[in-house]
Amino acid sequence: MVNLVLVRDNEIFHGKIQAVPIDKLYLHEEIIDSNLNTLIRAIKKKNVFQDPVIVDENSGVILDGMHRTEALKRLGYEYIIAYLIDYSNPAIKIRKWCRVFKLPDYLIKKEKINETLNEIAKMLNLDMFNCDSKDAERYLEKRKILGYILRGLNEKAYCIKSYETKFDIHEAYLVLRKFEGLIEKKLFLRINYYPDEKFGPKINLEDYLCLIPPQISKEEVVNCARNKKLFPPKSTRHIIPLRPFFVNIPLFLLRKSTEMTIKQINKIIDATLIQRQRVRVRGKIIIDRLYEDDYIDIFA
Amino acid sequence: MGHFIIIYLFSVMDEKIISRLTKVITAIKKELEFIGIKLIDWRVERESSICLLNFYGEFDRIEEVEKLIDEKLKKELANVADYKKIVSHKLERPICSLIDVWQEISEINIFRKYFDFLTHLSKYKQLEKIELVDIKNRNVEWCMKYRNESIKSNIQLIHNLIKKWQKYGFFDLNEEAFRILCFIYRSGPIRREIIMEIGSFILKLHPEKLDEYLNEMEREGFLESRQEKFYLAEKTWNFLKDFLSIIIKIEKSGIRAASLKNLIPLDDVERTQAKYIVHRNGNISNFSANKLVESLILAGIDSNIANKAIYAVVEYLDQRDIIPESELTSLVKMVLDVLDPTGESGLKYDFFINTRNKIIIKYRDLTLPFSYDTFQFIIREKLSSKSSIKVTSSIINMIVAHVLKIVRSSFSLAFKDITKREPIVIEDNYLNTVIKEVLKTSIPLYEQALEGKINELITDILTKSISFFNKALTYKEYHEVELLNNFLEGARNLVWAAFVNLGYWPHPNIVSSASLISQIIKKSDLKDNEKKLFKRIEEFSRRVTQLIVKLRPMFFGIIDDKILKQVMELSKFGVRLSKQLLDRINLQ
Repeated sequence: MVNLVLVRDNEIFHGKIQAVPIDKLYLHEEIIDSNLNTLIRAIKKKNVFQDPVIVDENSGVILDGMHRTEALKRLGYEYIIAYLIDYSNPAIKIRKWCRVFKLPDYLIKKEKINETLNEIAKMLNLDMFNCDSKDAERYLEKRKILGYILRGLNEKAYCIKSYETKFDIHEAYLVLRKFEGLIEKKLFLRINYYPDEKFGPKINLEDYLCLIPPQISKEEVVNCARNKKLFPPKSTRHIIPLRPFFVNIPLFLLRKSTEMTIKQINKIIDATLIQRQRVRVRGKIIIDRLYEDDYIDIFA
Repeated sequence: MGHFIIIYLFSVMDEKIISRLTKVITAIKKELEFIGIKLIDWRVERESSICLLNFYGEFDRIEEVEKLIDEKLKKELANVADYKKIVSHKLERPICSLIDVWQEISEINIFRKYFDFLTHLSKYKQLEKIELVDIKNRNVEWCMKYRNESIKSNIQLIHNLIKKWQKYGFFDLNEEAFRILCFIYRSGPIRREIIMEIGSFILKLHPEKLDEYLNEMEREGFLESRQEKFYLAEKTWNFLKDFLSIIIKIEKSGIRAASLKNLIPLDDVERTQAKYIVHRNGNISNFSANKLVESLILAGIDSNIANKAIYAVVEYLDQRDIIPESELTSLVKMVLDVLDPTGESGLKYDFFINTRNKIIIKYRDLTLPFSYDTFQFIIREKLSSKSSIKVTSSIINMIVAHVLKIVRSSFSLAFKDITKREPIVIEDNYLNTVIKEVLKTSIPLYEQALEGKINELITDILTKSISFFNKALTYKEYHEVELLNNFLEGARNLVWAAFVNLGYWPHPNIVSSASLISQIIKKSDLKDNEKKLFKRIEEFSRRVTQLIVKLRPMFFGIIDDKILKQVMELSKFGVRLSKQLLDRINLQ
């Protein structure tokens, strides 16, 4: 198999590219139908599988590539090209997306927002209280609250609390999804997702409303996925030290075939990839979206 | 100074874009040379819609290079495609294609087997008394059969090597450690992270295991590390130098021996094992020794050398079911270099295989690289511009293969200076002539159909078809050859007429026609009764195919009654179908 290795500060990170049976993999986030349909059309047109999905080798949980996996499954393919990594490696980071709503001029500094947030909390049978943003972050870390909302630098944080005594991360995300949906609906705002480092407790923008969800741990991702409890889209954000790109494996290899075993298919994939030029470039670049990974191996 | 790359991502990647990119890149190449920057390589990836440019030069010139390319691209691609630069990056080391290291895997694997053999021998005190048994009967993993003879004739060198190096502990190393040493010998002093990244792939070792070995060998004095790099200790370097020089000698004489003992028919070689050749784009095809010989001859290599080379290549490939195309070509080149030490055959083959980098096609106002896709585009365009008749991909593939073969071989045979670096430019008129001739000879009814009166043409060939079938039906016993010729002519004309009537160019081969007609019917929007007629024509061509298969191994003059009856039945069937098709034409 093609093993991609990165050595940094004497730490070794490695992952391997190979075909794996789709039915042995677990999604951890829900699928967005419109994105899925667009992707299905694109895959059909290209006839190659472009970028491997990122999979934890030990659990079979897909860390990145839910839609690609579902698209291939719906198109009747048996295998998918995966980049298998050891999720327990501390070099792989899991972060979160903050839900950010840009406020139009007429809403900035208006009391209407507070009223609406309270109204939504009531509708969803949630408690809401104000506190300092640093305290809110501490409560969130200790999982005393489901999330909190920030508005402007000097404003207090609005903490969202459940009346349930036991904190369930999966439930928390489902409740927050309802909450953010109601913000969109009631205040006519559009949701945007920003990496937490950018819109975390250090927020200093006056004209944004920012909902900070709790941080999901790696163990929670694996447990929920294995128990088929899917998080809403944009719940996790994985940053891995090295990611492969543009492997472009022909789709016919991924169909169920009586002629070829998975071992032979993987030998063909190896033989294909070793004939390509491989360029390692620094990550944090925009290709079709921003890739925050440290390095990217481009096969050309 | 160093390598750097720039990668552009395009919204689309079609011939128009490729042509403009080719133009831009050809133009900047010279300009860059003025400022001391070399364009080492460039590549367009259709599937990913990217263009990768690989440069070598002073890093402080990168901005200048980017500016130059950006300007030219803006000019050439304005209003044609959206694009963006996704990467502009200094490389810590040159771009590597893993195939280079794949070759090392094969070689290191061979070295490992020799090492096992030597380690085994080193356990005996009286080496001279050991007699080698014929390897081909004992150890199938040791794949080259003629290697054994070569080992036998060089056994004294092997004995000397063991005696000289035994005391230094090399033969106590395990084979994984030995492979790591071989890898460092080939790569030269190497940084830890690089040996981890590439070495773990080549040596098929887990990176952490590899790390352990490196530390252990450093402790035991086989390796040294200085300034963050691993070096072979002097004794290790000298041992490997001795070891590899003997192996090269044995391998070379093994190749020569294999090439001379061409006792196995090539067809048998092909039958022995299913071997797949894996192309760079992931497509696969079956390995064919015959095709390989054909390509060597087309490359202009002396047939004597070509025939010899093939046996040595097959010996190496023995027991491998999947072979990367690039590995096969480098293996062929290595064998050619052994068999023709002047290097001419190797160079000719290299030119033939790497035509893509050596020929540029001028077509209309486009400048395109020599590739399958380019020819497919040109031929599709030529066919569609001349007639509304559609073309199946099976015919396109056949024509592209013919044209590629003609162009490639005519240039590789005529090209005097194969070491020349500037690409050859193929102009429109040459290409037009070749394509025209190939279309004329490959597509039945091509010229007649271009005259435009399609229904008249179909009527004409169906009338001919009926006449041929009738001649077959009125055969005399002493005219069996005539009978078969008339029958096959009738069948061909009927099937071709069916293709044209369905709006597609006919396939010259009746055997391939049946499945093509079936595919066309599936795609068409014919009425049910019309579908019925074409399905019967498909059935007819399948039955003709079966008959041809039965006839093939026979000598004329001994056609048995059963076959004769089938020919008669099919001729009658053919007449009926031709008439029905004629009725359809008359109704249209």
